[in-house]
Amino acid sequence: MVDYVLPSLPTSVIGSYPRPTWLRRMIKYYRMGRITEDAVQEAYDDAVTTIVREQELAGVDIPADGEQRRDEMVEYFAHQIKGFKFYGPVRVWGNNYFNKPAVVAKLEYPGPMTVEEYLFLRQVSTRPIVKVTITGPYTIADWSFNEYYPSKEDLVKELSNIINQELHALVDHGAQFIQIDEPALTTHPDEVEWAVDLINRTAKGIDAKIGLHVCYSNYDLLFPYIDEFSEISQFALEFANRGFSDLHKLKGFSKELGFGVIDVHNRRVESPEEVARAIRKAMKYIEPEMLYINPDCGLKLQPRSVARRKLENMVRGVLMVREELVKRGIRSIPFRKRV
Amino acid sequence: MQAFTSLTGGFPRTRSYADAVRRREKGKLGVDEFWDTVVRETKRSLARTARYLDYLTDGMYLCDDIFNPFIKDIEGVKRGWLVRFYDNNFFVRNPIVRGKIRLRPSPSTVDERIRLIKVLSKDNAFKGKSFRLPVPGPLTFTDFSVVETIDYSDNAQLAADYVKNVLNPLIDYVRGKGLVIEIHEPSLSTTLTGNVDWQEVYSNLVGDKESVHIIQYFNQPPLDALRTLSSRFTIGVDLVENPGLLDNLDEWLGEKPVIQAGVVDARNTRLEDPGETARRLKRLSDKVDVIIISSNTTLEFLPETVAHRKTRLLARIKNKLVR
Ligand SMILES: [Zn+2]
Repeated sequence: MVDYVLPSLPTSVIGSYPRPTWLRRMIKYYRMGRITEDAVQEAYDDAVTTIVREQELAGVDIPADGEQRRDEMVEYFAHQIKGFKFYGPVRVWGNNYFNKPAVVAKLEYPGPMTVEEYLFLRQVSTRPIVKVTITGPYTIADWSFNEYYPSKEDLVKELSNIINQELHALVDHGAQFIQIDEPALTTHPDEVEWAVDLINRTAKGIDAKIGLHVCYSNYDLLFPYIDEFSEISQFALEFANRGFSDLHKLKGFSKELGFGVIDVHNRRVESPEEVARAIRKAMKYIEPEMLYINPDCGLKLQPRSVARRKLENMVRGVLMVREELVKRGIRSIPFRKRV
Repeated sequence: MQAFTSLTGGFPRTRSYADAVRRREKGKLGVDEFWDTVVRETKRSLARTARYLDYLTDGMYLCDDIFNPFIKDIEGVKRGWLVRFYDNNFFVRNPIVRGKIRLRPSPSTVDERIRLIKVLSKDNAFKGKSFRLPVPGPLTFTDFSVVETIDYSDNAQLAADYVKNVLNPLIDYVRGKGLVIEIHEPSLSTTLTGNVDWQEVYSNLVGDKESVHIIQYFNQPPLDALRTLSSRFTIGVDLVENPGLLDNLDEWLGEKPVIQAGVVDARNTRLEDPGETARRLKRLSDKVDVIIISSNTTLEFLPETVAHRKTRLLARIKNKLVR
């Protein structure tokens, strides 16, 4: 197995990216029955090719496929895993809805859910390492109704087995960097303890770098558990949204940090200087060898032009700090599967 | 023992209504056209449920959440940002308190909701039904508020003013229109009230068991609060999250209590067994003169189709209970 070397402060994305206007139109036409399945698949492929190229042009070292084929992060998996049922949308805020699935029978692994996505991404990216994202078992359970399992813990346990099989399938096809998304992780403080165990179980025996993305969450509940995430090498966390206010809490952080420097809920494009300042601040607590740089979260809610400019400035900010690191003799870091 | 059924809080919006809101927000639907949709869709949705219910609400079709747009009717309060509503994957815009709070002389958002209820009441489907108007309780309002004024150096003062200057005039106003006020008070719990003394806050609330229904849900409520409040007002308890309340009824039932039993889970699509639920409720119904059967919280956490089934379930539980 090749041990890759990455430039210091490797840049990446969290996952989602705005869909091109034409893809949205094609999906609409497909749902209206006006174009064929083949035609919409071709559009998805073209969109991924475009979005990956866009990230690479912005200078991102580790691109993802922008989740162009996924409408929603839980729905995408619930549609594939056997045992889910959809009764209809529920409101999440204002006039915004989520197709909340219900677990109505024993859940079963349907076979690879993201492998095709990964293989296509691998094919179109020119970068040695790409990132695959997968929604974690706790978040899938938390955002579903449970009609079948005696407890939520039982449901998460079942899902962790299913996601574990999926991670194995991805690794079997060559995936090296997989990010598990768990935005719901700290929603119920009294469940964090067992959720940590089950996330470890999800990533057990996987020969790849496993990242965990937790956003818009109470990090005071998460940080005491960092060392207990035995199977997780990197935490991709959101800091721009909190004005980089909690950085001192990173003292003694034992894993790699995917440091969120771009606010995905604000259209204002951060300047490279701002990004550089934030990274320097983080380096007070985290060794540069342990630091990756990414936006806070997926960029899909931004207009595409804003998303692209945000990525460009993120990379420009990183380049400024990289020059400073070169003076300290730090040019690159090894791509480590386990930390 | 008399048994009633009730809708609590909102009812899931129909797809056509959601589409209309989207078009309204984009400026593609005029005020009058939108109002026609509001009336048509609320009527369609609630008329289906009305045959199973004794108490209805406005379905909160005109509301984004329990605080909005209601807080527009309060002087000194602005609309804030999205925050999680307890441990749900549901978000509300919090109230930002910028000055002394007071109910506006003409509360336009409340008026619009009352106008909708009046239109509904004229329809045959709603003959003989009572309507409740859901609003936030003082502790819940205080819990979610961000205070940006020196007028309120402590939360107790804010909660006290909310009762005196907002709820009391509103209760009188709503009663004058023949409606019941439904006070949502999930924050009346041992863990959330913080330094605010529920006793002091509620000692100034006007109204009685007929005009004021206080609904507590999610977290475990203090038993002495339930006992005191249920002697004066109708009290709703969440028996889905706090089933243990049925084990120590003597500790929290006040004098001649009217209790809303939240026995149907509004946060899970699984349908309860009506027979078994009625059997569980027997202990409560033996001790109170009036019982209102409802979901534990707003049915808006459910998809529309399931909300309809859960409403039908309330009537089946009632039938089993009175038999
Ligand atoms: Zn995120």
